[in-house]
Amino acid sequence: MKKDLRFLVVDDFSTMRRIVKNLLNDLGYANVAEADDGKTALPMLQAEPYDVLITDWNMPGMPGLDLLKAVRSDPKLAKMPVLMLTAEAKRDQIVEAAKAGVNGYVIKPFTAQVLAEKLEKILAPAA
Amino acid sequence: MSATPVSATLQQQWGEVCLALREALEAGDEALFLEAVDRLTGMRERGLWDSLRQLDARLRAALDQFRLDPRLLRLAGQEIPDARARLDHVLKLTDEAAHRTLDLVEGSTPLVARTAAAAATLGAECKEARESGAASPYWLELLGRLESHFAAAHADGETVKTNLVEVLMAQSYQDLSGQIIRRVIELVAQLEDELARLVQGSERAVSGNRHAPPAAEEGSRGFGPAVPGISVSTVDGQQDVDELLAMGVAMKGM
Repeated sequence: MKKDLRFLVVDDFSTMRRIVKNLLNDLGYANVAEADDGKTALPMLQAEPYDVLITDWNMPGMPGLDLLKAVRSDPKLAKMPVLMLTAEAKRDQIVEAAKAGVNGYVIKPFTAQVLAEKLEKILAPAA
Repeated sequence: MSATPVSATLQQQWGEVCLALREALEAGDEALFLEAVDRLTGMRERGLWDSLRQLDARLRAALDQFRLDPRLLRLAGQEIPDARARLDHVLKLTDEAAHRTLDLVEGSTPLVARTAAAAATLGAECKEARESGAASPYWLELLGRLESHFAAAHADGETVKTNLVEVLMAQSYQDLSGQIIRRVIELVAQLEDELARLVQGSERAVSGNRHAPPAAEEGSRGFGPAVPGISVSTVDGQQDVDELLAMGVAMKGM
């Protein structure tokens, strides 16, 4: 697995961004940027090359689902692997996220092992 | 065929205007006829207006009572804004506590990692020295004990590292409880708004909750963490999520 991949972690809670960043560091990924909602994240994604997007769903400003749709409709970003890391647990929502093109969906609270497994799975084609 | 008996009240109430209508019609006098029609509809609507006036008076009295209820005034003016401020403070406190814990985890993890790695190296060196055959019985016994100690120190260090990851993960409570608290803050703010409008006695108080967020926006924004006993149609664990995700992906291609 490539360890120099560039991650963008989007969550409105700074504690959760820090937790995910630490877990990614433990997995050997040191290149991790942060944004606190979709509105901040989208210009970052458009301005600089990121390899993986990890986003929350429920955020003020632009929610994660809207960010996912914006990413999928941008030709430059459309193929980017997107992992949704969220407390949103309604069955319809997960199906909706899948239809919008999410690559992985991890429900909070999660374990370090589940995050590692899902990341490995969505990165497998690129590795 | 005999005429239906007309009650004296009806005759008294409507007779005159009906006669005026009939006379105007027979005379072909449009102005008189329309004047009689106006009189007739006016008489018909008077009852409705009387009822509406009574309803309005009762509504105003009820609103006045709301305005005058000191408990309600205190709730709207002080206690509900206080409740929001308290919840905001809870969010701030849990955020600070979680970050403080994360500071300590981030500070401790490299220390224990370094100690565990050093123990592993020193343990291997002790083993090598013990097995070289050059050591006296005293050193052989001491090297054996040191080797055991370093092996235990390495294993303990690894356990502490694993526990620190668990401590890190446990801080996600701040995000989960924070999302639930934020939702309650939003609801309290809406309640405060509605109460304020009711207390002002404005007509808008009865015109519906225009401040409630539209349902579509609510869905896109999300519903927050599942709350036992409240949330419906939520998944049961990560495996359930994986199955639904696969189903959604399959539906996407259809």
